Amino acid sequence: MSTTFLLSRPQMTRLQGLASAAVGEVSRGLTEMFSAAVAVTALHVRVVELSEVPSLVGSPELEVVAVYLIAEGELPAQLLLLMEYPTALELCDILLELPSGTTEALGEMEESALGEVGNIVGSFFLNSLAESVGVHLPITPPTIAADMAGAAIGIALTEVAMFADEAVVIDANFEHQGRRLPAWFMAFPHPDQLRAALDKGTF
Amino acid sequence: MITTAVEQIVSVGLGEIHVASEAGMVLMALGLGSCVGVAVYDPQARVGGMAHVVLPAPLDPAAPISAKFATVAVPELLERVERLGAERQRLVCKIAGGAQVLQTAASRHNFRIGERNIEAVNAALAEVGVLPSAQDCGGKTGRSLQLAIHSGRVAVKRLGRDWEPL
Repeated sequence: MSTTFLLSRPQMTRLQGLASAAVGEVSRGLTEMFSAAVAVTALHVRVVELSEVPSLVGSPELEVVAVYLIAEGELPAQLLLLMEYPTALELCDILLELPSGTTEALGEMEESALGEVGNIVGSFFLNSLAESVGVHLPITPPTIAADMAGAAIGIALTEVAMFADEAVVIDANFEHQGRRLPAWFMAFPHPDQLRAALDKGTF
Repeated sequence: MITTAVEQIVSVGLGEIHVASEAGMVLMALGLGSCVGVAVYDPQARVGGMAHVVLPAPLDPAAPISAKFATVAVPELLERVERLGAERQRLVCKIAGGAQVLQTAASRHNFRIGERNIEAVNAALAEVGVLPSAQDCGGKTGRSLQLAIHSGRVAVKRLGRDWEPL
């Protein structure tokens, strides 16, 4: 049933290198934003069956806040920042300089603050990628949803699902001051353009 | 949980179809957002199946066949339960999902994707002569769908809520 578009070993190696540099930039951006050490850890670059992707964060029923961004241009991709709901509330407290435990629900201001985190993650990641590959990668404004992880990941996968039964998944976790956060970054690049970019061999 | 005799829970992932006739089996599509879960059950044969539809139809009709598309998943689901002994005229069908999870969508293929999935599943079911007797579709949030093979009971769960019969 699969319409496999596995990346070749050299393509995968190139993508690993690009993604590694890009998440390093995301760490730098988040550390500046939070004025505290935020690291992007446990980077994986893998080809995963569509049916398996939601389980990468644990249960597809996990309650998360998802920040969804789309990279356009020569290397289109769907980007997701997912965080467990309590973590999202905790981040709002930090960003809005409120005492811990103050934020109890997400309103317009809280969503805007989380969207800004998504913007930092997305733009630092894409800027690094764009610079390495030599392309322009504009990014859409963030869209936020509080829902089951499976629902959030499913919508992000619709673009690549149109063309393949597997997805190239770039995913990573976050650490804040040495503590692992229940939050994930995921990128689903469009398969054809990704292979074309990786085959250019200009980076 | 809607059964006390669960022996095996089978997760029906994106683009997958599972069918079963074993009494202790429960089929589940977890975290359906814009996707649509299709459950069919023959109460006499005690055979059932579930499909997890991701997209309405392939852009290119010559594209490889995949159950992620409603146009492929629905007839394949019926064919597979019939192979296990179900009869089409006895099938009870229930569907859930097709939410508009994001209020904006900048990409081509997820524009109104939940709504288009619901339409495509209903059209594919009409094509094969099986109309859903119940559906919990649309809205803005995701849900999970389960089918217990021993009873044919179908239930839906939304975020933060318990399973409710459909």
